[in-house]
Amino acid sequence: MSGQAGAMLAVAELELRRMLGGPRPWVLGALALGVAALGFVVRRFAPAPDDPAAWGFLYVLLLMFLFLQTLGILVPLLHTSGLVRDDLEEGTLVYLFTRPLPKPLVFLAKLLAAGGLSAAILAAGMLAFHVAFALGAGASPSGAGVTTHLLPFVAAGALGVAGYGALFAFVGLLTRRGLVLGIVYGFVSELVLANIPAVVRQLTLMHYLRSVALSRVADGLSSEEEVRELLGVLDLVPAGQAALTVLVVAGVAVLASLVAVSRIEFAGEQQVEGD
Amino acid sequence: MSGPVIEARGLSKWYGAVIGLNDVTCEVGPGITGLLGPNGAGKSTFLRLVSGQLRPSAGEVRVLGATPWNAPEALGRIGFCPDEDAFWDGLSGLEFVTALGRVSGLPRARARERAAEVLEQVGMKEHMGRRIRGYSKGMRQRTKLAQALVHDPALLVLDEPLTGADPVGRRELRALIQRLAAAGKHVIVSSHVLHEVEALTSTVLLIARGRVLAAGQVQELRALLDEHPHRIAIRCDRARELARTVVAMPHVVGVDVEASAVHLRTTDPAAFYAAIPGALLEVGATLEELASEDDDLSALFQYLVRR
Repeated sequence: MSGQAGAMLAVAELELRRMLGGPRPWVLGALALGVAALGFVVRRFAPAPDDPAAWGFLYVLLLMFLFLQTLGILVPLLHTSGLVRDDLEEGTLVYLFTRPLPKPLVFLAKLLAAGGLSAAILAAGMLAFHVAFALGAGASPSGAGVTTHLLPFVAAGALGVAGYGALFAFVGLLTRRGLVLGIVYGFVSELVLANIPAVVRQLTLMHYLRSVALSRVADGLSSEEEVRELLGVLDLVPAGQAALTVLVVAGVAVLASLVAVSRIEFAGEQQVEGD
Repeated sequence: MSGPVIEARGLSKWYGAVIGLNDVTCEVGPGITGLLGPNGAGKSTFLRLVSGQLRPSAGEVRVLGATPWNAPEALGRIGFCPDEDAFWDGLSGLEFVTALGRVSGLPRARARERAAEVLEQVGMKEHMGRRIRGYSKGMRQRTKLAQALVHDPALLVLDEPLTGADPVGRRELRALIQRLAAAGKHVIVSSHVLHEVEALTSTVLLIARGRVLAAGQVQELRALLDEHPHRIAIRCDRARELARTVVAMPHVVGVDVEASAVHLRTTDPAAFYAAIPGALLEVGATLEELASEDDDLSALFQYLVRR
């Protein structure tokens, strides 16, 4: 392993230890398991609908609203909005930024660690939900169900971590109020705008994440048209195009962050304001 | 290494409207250099510029021939020990230093080996496996010093490394810093405690209100003070009689008398030292002690800050 790759791995390991030493990933993991448990309870105890296909709709609904649109924003927000600032305020950033590793690579290593942990929490939560929902139905979870129903949501969740994580990390570099701004942007702008029909929703990441998540929704769950109509997401784009759009946004945000982190001065326990 | 270790030319740093360092031009040579000044003088700003944490607002700083801002290669030759008492929770001293060795580019196994070496060097061999959160202040200071050493830098930049350590710990840390310098490391060490720097080195950089007031050997600095009356204390058995004699000397500008001591200020120490034997003989006094009170760096510092 080259010196820089090894150094980045060391930074990523430090970041993971820092995050796992705090409450955030554990609380978020517990929330994800709570949602999974809710899936079990709903499937087990809710009155049977007239149309059995409605269970499929319920499955999609819970994954969409509780995972993709809630935890899918909250998890990367809490893990990346303070990516540099948390270390700065704890006084440990100086150890990383006085090393012979370029600051952008330090940032990138931290972002990859935070993104990886966020994606793992979301994926594990969704898998737990899938299993719990199947168990609630009295069936054993099937591998086929995982690939046709769950994987598009997991992919959308991972893409969401990339997109939101990169955006929140960038905002967190620029301002001390990254968490507040992230909440405003993530839960107000993204969710409100994403539900406005026509062009406006195309300005949100959520629109593209939904497109990926629902790309295979017709496979045995319910009528695709019916699900889309019920969710109010009729103008989805092809999954490949949607994924590419999210990755481009994430890439631009990461590049902007790398430029910013190489220009911003961090010293002691604070960011140095401009001269 | 032929040139200066650190070279600043018109170096300034502003934090918005606040001046942290103001048009500093100075050179720091090999060995140990003490960076001395009161709190808020600009010491940390200077060290952060030297260690590449800050970008100069104006002017330039070169460290071992290179500018350190956004220069990973230059940072590889600098080991920085921060003033902040901060660590990642849950790590042992060995894990902490190993991790930072890896961040410095050492392979995992070599980083661990090197971390064990430097922790032993700073006297932490017995405790390196324990979690840092259980360390005393002195042990934490040593661990911070070890992380600055792990990648074997040529220059150590130590920001108030003795703060918080107990007297025994301070003495041991001073001895360690001197051993490192003897082994070929260049060291710049900041402190606002004068006697600590004095015990470490006679080469100092005096800084206050963002400006370098003086730089060099203490003796050289004293040459800058020719216009400043030097303070001399004489202990003898006929202090009052001696005071009457010395006050008549043209270069003596002030005299205070105690029971068995005369404290005086002279604008020409050389002339005074030449004249004092005669004055003692004239009054029949027996000399117990003759000392320049300005040999203490503290006196020099106080004067320069007021100037």
